[in-house]
Amino acid sequence: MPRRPRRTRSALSAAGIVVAVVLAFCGLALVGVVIAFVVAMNNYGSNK
Amino acid sequence: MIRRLRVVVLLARPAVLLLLCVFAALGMALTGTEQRPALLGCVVLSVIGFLLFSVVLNDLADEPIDRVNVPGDRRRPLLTGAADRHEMFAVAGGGAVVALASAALLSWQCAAVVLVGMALSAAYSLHPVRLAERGAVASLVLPACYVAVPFLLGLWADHPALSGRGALLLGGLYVGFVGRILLKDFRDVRGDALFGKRTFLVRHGRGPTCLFSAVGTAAGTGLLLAGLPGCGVVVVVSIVGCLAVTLVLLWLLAGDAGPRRDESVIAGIAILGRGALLLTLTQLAMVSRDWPTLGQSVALSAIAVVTIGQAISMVRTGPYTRLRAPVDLPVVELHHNVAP
Repeated sequence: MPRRPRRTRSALSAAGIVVAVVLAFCGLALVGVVIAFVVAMNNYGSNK
Repeated sequence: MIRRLRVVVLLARPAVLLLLCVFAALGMALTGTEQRPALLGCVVLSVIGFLLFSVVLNDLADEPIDRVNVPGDRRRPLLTGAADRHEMFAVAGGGAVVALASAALLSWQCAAVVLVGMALSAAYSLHPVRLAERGAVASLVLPACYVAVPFLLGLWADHPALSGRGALLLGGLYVGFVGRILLKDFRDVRGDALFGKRTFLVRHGRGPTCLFSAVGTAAGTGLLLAGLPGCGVVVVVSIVGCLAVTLVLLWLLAGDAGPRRDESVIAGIAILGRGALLLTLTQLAMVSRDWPTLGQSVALSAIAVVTIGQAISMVRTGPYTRLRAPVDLPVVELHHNVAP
């Protein structure tokens, strides 16, 4: 059964998630989580 | 059970839910209550219930049009057969109950906001009112549901009061979202025209729609910046930078380059809009926690760079799709016979 190759995360997504983690560690947990989700979901092409 | 849960997750439209949660978080951040788990839980539950109610009514009402615009879309359980109409009504009813009950736990004002929002949602989708078919009115009502309901829930979670700054922020978010929501009709223009759904795009065409969107986005950004506390140079440059790239993309969209190109450009504009919201949320949270100016500048600049970079990347390569060629696909030599 062929396995689908794992999609590598883009440098921009990785950078956004790093920023989110730094914010979360500095006491802005909710903001960090929201940023991580938004940055990660930006690739899926929502029109809103 | 798993199938039903999956249907509920699909109907909650994760990307839209996230957007509504950001509006709610902005309201909470303005009053400094965003890190209180009990309040946050009630607000998020209420937003989820409200969104489920609105999406299900819209999916039920738009079923024939969606069969033309988005045939076989996995995110539409009614179209794929993953859910029948009875299940859809059950989800809408359950969503309404959860939304109202969670809001009532916060205050009666929050419950009233949810009730008015659900009435507007029903009027947007259902006959005889069916605001969705009334051109610009639809573009003014839908953002009221999507922006005002979650923002006010967040803002009034602890103490129901609307300050001047809160009103400015709400106005900016609303006007900016009116500008963005007009663009969603580009994807659906064929079915909308076929079924006589007179959206702003169907009535006025591509150029005026992009112009109206540009004016809304610019005005929304202005109001947002006016309502933002501790508004320094970096946050202004970051948010205005997102606006500038948005205006360039709208100019590109005004020239017809095909539906796939439209989809990528509109997704890029949506990324920039969500990025401006993130910058606003981050600024509010950092100001309320007295972050040093240098830390604020670094965080805001990084988010702006990531946002603009992702938007440009989206415009160039299009959205991520599940369609992938299998790894063991044999290489086939194609011979093109091109007539001279």
